[in-house]
Amino acid sequence: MFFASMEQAVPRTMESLAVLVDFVREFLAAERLSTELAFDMDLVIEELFTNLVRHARGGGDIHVLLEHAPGEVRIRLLAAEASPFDPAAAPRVQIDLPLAERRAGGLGIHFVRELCKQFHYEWRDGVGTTTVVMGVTS
Amino acid sequence: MLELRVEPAGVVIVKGRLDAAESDRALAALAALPGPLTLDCSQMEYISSAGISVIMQTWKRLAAQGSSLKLVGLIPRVRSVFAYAGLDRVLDIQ
Repeated sequence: MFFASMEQAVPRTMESLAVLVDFVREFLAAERLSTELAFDMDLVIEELFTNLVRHARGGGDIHVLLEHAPGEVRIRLLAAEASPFDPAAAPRVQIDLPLAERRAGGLGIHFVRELCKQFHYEWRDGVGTTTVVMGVTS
Repeated sequence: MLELRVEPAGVVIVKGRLDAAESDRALAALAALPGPLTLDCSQMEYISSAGISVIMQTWKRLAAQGSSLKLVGLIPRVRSVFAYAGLDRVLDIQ
């Protein structure tokens, strides 16, 4: 059961990240949640958003929805996509390789998996929706 | 916003947010500097995978030149991102 919800639509450019940072703080203030949550929420939203901007085949704004229920924050990103682009299906990265053999690719989705207790994707009628749930103390 | 300030003795003060909006500019700025480098991260408020990529690429460039990269002063939240990436054990972080 999720209660209060806020939505922000932003263009598919990296300049949108600053708008989303402000949006997270507005949400935390409105929900009287700790600003301590901002870092992890920023990280999850940035990784999902930049993944869409860089790799998904679609156009138009990306809609970010934030919802709060007791003990949980749910983040959803909705984007028009010509075909399904499921970040939750991305292969897991190997973080135990020597540094010289490491690549940065895939780390963002790895962070999302580290920080979220639920992570799933659905595609319907040309719109992809990525949903993550983070546990919070509220 | 991100600010990089080059100090004497290869010290670079990193201030602000090292995110995907700033990573290209940060990588280009660091690529212009010879090693060894010490990044003073005490005023770095945030880092994402794009910022981690900047650090990894800079480390690889300097290592290929026989030089080194050191990170100092990380706040706990920033350090935790390096830990998620498994880099806290392999990078020189103090």
